[in-house]
Amino acid sequence: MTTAVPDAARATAPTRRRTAGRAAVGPFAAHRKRLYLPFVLPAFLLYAAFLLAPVVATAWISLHAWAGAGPMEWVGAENYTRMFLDPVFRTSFGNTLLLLFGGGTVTFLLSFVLTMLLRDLAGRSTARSVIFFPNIVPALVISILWGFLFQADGLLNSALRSIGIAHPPAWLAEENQFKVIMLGIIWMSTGYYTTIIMAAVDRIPPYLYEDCALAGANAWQRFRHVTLPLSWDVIGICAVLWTINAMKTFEFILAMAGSASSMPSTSTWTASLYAYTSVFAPTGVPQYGIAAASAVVTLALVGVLVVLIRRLMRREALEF
Amino acid sequence: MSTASTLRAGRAQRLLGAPLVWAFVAFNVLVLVWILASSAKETRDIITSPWALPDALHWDNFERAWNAGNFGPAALNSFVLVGGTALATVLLAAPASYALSRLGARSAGAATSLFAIGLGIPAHAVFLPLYQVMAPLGLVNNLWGLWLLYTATSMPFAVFFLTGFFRSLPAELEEAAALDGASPSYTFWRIMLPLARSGLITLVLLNVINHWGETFFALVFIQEQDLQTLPLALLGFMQQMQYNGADWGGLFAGIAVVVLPLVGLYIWLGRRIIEGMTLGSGK
Amino acid sequence: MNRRLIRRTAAMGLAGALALGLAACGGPTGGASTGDGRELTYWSMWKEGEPQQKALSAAIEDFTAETGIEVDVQWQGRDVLKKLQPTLHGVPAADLVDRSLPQVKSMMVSTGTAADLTGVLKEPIPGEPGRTVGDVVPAKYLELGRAEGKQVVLPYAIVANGLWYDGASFPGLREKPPKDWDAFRATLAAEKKAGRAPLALDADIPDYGAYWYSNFVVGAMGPGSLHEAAADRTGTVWKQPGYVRAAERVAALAEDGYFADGYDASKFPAIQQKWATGKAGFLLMGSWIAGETKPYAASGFDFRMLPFPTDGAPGAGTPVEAATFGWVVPAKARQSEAARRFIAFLYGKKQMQAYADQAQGIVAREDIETAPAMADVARALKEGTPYPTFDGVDMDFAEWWTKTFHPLSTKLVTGKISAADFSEQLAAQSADFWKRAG
Repeated sequence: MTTAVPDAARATAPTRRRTAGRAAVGPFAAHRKRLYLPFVLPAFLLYAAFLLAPVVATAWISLHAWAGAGPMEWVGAENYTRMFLDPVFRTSFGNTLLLLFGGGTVTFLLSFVLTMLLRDLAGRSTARSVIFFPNIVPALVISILWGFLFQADGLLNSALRSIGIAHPPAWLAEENQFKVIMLGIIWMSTGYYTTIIMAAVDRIPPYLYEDCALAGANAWQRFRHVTLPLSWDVIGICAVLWTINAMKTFEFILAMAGSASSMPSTSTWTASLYAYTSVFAPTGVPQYGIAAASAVVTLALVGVLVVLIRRLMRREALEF
Repeated sequence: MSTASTLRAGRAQRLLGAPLVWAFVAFNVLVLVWILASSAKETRDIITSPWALPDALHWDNFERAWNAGNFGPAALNSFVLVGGTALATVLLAAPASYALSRLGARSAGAATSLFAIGLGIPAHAVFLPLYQVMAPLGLVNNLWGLWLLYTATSMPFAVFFLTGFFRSLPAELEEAAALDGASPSYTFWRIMLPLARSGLITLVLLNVINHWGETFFALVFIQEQDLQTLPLALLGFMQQMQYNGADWGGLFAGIAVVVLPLVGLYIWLGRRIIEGMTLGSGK
Repeated sequence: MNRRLIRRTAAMGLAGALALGLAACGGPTGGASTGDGRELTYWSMWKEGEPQQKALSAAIEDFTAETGIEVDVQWQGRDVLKKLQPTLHGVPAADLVDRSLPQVKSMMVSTGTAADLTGVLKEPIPGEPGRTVGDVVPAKYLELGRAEGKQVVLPYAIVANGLWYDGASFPGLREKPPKDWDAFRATLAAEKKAGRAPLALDADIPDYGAYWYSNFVVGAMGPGSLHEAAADRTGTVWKQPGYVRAAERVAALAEDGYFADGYDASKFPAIQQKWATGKAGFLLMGSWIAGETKPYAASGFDFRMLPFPTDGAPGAGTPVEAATFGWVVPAKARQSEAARRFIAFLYGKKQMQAYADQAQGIVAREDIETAPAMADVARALKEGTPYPTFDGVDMDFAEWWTKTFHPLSTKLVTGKISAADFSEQLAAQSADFWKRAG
């Protein structure tokens, strides 16, 4: 660590880290242990019955060809091989990864910047109520708005033309569409993650920042040495949430198709839209087997990423 | 906060950062204004001049959406369902998260991860098995059934989200309570839970937002119009446009009806989060 | 704790899977016990407040007054089959639904849960002595509701696709329609020369772009030709001259700049709206377009439809792309008898006329007066040969249609690939697709 680490932060952070739980021994700790099952079990049972058990059924379905009713035909791993050979699945999966990592980087950078700026901003409570707002708006509205903004003679291109750009880009042309969609997702998500991170940052005792200021730390140093370590757990949670939400994204893309009876262009599909389509395409026999297989793959990936993130975050937290 | 360096840093931030934040904020406000303005315009004007303010206030949009979409009873259903879900979610998830994050049980880490993985389960991957099991139990086409389903599917997020908050609370208070002879459950309900208040409120808010707009489960599990929720009413209203005339004015009015309560809730609870912060972090 | 949980979870999952398996096999559902015929449940594709709903609602009242059969109706909207689907293998939640063939085929025919309604054709129509349902519904409409040799959908309303335009902008077109595509192309060229966009298309909706290739193929080789090519698992049919020529027709439209500016980079309904305000000449679309665009169309817009000009198709009538809304009875419906009576009742002239007036659409009886905006559609359907939208390809080869055909067709209609490349790639990718599909 370089010199500018404020003493206060250095002193507090390690002591509060993970002392919870393990520290106490004796009768009190035993009492506490007794709370574990009654506290966890109700939530867990509900979760297991309504999500885990159906997932087991889903894994079972993924080994069959099934139209949603009628007989199930055992096909083994065929759904999986078919899916991986399908160029559309590869495109969809690529889009998902692009959103997950590319979109994620931008979203988190923006969220951190906003969090830091909002901390000392006059009128912050107003600002922060407002940045969350896009989350409340149904995806459908945002898709309509995005159309008006980005289409060939939309607001953006009108603005570009008025400053002398005769041939502004075709934002909604097939090859650009997914990037424009990502922009929408980033806009919606930034407010969401900023809000969560802010809630954590709010709990950081102000005196740490004051000590920091006394030590002459600049904004970046305060962020690096106070904000980041003290909201690390919550940032970890946000990373996991982002991973999962990115993997599940499809509503906005579906809404971008604009017509109730048609699917959007395959170049904008994500893995979860792929799964959705195999069951809810406007025409065609539903392929529950494929949808289930795609869900299983998604889940496996989520599982790996979640474990990875948690491991990564834990190690980082111990570092300083 | 009175030293010169803070002031200097603050000034730099204000000069560079503030415009950025306010631009972002302004964009969001304009979107809200745009929705509200559109909800009072005629369909023709929305499409031909999307950015203009309404020439006259067409309140009939709201009337049409409210009547044709059956928004009244749907709003009541949504209100009760969403409120009930948020309450049940917090009551179940808060103790679970506390236990998982602070009681030091050996299985806690794995169990937390297991909950987290549940977040990745898409609704369309599980609805059929759920339907097959819930139908014979009379839980289909039944708001109680949907409530149970919403609460259960909220668990992964709620538990995962709250464990983070409980984990970052100072341990000293718990230890002090133990020294004072408080029982562990007293410690939880009276000391730790109030401390996690900002987290709980944020959770309630996110939970409400999630379910206020939830369409998929509601679509599959609710059959009668009398039981339909607000998103279903909006969806039904929207689908009418496919064959019977694009009523964008009515659509935006319907959207405003769906969105405004949430905006209100956010403004109200958003302030509470900040209060929770000041109370929670002590001096 | 962990292991116990895992075991418990596994057990629950297994129970779920078992329940599922049982249910899937038809299991303990009781099967189709016949009801008492005094009531029936109807789930509708229409929502409360729609004109179609108002018409049907009035008809239901009449029906109950006349027969004493109570109809419990739920106005479910377009997702009606999605809601019905989970109940189809047990006791269906509705005895009667309505929807179009593509949806019925995919959700019900594929699982054997749609009843054959051929018998209803022999039902007498109440109040019209001597006439049966089969007598009043033209055979060519019935054909649009058949699948696997069964009458799974009994059409009551028809929509047709064609080139829509404002009658005021093209006077005389109705009286003297172009005899074929080349003649019509002259009209388009004149428009282009006059500085107006001849055609409108929202190319971001893949199906709308696909209308063009589909209509050119069928317009040149007749109904069934597109289906035949799509059914070919080697893909080579796409390289035959007739299909390549259809692709060339589409490519030429894109190349010559006949589509309104921005058609390849806008969001539906931007270009459709341009058309409705007189900024483009023709829009290839279904007959719902009149109702759909009315709220924002230029005032006085005179909705006219030109059937897609033939490009040398064999046979007498011009092929007309069409779809129907029709009655569907689940195979295991409790009250299927009552449902059948209700269907027959609705084909009565009075009911059909009331529906046509309310919904401003075409109904499945030719002796009904139609709304002015639908006059051309009615004529096209009467004189031409209706065939299913996209020649039925989108429902019979749905996955291929979305994943293989759509991307290429969008590229073709937006001028991103040549006709030759399109045909070449379509052939190759289709062969690949079918190889994967096994």
